[in-house]
Amino acid sequence: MIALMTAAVLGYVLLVSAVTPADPHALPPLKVGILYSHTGRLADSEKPLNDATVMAVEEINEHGGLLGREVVPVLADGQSEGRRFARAAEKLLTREGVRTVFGGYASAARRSMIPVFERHGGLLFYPAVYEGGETSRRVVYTGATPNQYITPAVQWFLDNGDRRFFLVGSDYIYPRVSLALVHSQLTAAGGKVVGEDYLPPDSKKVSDTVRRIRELKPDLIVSALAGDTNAPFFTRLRKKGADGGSVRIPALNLVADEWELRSQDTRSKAGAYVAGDYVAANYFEELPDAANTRFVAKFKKRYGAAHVSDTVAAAYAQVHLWARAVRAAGSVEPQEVLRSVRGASFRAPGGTVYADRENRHLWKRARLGRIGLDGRIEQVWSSEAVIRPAPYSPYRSKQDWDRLVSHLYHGWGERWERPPGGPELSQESRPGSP
Amino acid sequence: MKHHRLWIHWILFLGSGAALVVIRTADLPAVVAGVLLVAAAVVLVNAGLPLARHGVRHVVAEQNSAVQAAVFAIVGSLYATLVHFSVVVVYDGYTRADATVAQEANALADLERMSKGFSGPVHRQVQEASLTYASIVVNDEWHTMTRRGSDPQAQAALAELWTIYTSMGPRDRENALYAPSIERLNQLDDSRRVRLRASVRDVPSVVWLMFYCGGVLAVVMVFFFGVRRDWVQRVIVSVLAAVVALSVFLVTSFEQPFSGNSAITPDAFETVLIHLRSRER
Repeated sequence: MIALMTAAVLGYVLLVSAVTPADPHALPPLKVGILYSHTGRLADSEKPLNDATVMAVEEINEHGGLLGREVVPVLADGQSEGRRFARAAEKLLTREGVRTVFGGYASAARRSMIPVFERHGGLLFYPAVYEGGETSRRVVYTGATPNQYITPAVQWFLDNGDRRFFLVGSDYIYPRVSLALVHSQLTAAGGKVVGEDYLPPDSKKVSDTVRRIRELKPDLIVSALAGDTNAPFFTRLRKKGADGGSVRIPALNLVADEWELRSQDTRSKAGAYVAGDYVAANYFEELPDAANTRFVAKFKKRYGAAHVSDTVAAAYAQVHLWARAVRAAGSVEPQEVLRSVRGASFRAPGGTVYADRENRHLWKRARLGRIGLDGRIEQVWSSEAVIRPAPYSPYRSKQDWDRLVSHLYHGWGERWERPPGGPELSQESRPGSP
Repeated sequence: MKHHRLWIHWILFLGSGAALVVIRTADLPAVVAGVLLVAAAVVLVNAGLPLARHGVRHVVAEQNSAVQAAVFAIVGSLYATLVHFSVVVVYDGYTRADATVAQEANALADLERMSKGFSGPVHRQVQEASLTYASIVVNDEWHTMTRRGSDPQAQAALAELWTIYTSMGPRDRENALYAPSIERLNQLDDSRRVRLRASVRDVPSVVWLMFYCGGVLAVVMVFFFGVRRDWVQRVIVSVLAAVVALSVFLVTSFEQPFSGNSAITPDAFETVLIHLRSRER
């Protein structure tokens, strides 16, 4: 009888150990850094990115962790400033035992962090669209390069007969480089830039620019305005008769997240002012995709978010892409993960993305959306296939892009944006201009 | 012919039949597969001979008649025609696929070369997109084609090439090289479609059915010929089985041009790739 009971207990133990997944707590936890702004002017924009990253990490843990280890997020605050991002990244890599960091939103933050990751051999997953002009070997860029959203969107307007364009942006690295690219594209494709203005970051003095637009009557305004400048600019522009009378000049927004996240109040209060304008992006919340619908519903329910933006979707997907690469490599070492990421694909919300073998960016589909009266963005065009990422736009040589970035950085006193009270930098020479 | 120990013949017959199926579906080196196929076919017919004779021992002819010989000649001729037809069809498909690959690679190389006559941005775009296309075709799509698939990134790179030419500014469109470039682009696109189609094309099932049935019938007919010496008949059916097996092997080898031991290799694209990389800025 005792032998029978012993056999039964042993059998039960063996059976339970066979069917129970490995306890992720049995091995030391795997720390990953999550570095976004929790304070400062970009905190509102970056909070959803932090939330999406944490949600993805929790999903991985719910499925047994990675390589038998629980993934533990170490949160850090970049305080909306490039240099503080760099300091926080250094602390994560040197004191917290982190090898991989998910984070960064503004270009200034990314450009400030890159030397830190290169120095300490860490790995950064960066989710936002950016201006191109760099390819760090320590960064996996999961946002888009300009040829994956700006160039196709501008081409769409050219194809639809628009020829005269007015370029306006906040005076920091992203709008400057992005609009320089638009300028080159228009010059090559037979369009014309009738005006180009850069406003100090978060400036509300928009009258001069609006007046110029009214005088010049372009076919399209290409806007890379960010932050608090958007509301006064579009409100003033769209006031009755402000943009030239009966014909409304549409705008193409290149800072999609600003529209989806920061201008919610503006849109709901003054919906008519932005309704009919366009947004260039790779993802819209309303995409009719089962995986996307599940992701959006879960994210909104969990964090009470009003919208899910392109960057939020990328911040979520990049964690799963990393996890897939770690599983394939059987290691969390950045070099191994980088090798494994190359050529990998992942079914992200909104469609499959593919990691490029050469430049560690993702192949993505370009999309163009129009803002409706209810504030929703309806997709009006999508590229026929995913688009290869080109960090250096072919409209200029690599040396020309590097020269432009250097000109801006040094012109702004070794900063990535116009310093407060500083004058507007003269525009660099535009290769290919007539 | 003596019919003792029939169970051994049954085991050999069924075993060699199963072996034929395994060899046909397994991924073996060409020479090994060919030798095993012939060996299994010879064992099959030699095991089948006593079984057939035992099953219909009352009707087996002791003397061969002229009618028998005439019927056998007709069946043999028809089967030979079928084999010839099948071999010609698959080999023609194979050589066409090979030529299509070369044509596609040539069109890509021409396109890239002609892009030097356009403005700098156009040249850079075409160069990068061509390099990407060739690289993906060689490194990814070729493997995917063995599983009868295609690579979405290769399609995307081709779409990018089209976008470059369809969104060109008026000055570039007036270039004398624009029309020939579009022609090459069309050729590239067409060749790609033909290549992908060839990777999924099969010999029709009805041809295979006739192929196998014809082979079996030809062998079975020899079973019922009256031959005084047992070993002579075994040699005859073995030779016939070997010829049928080699025919099947030949058709199978060329049936899918991009998989198996005789698969077409991406040499033409590799040459273009080396050339493009050597000129990369």
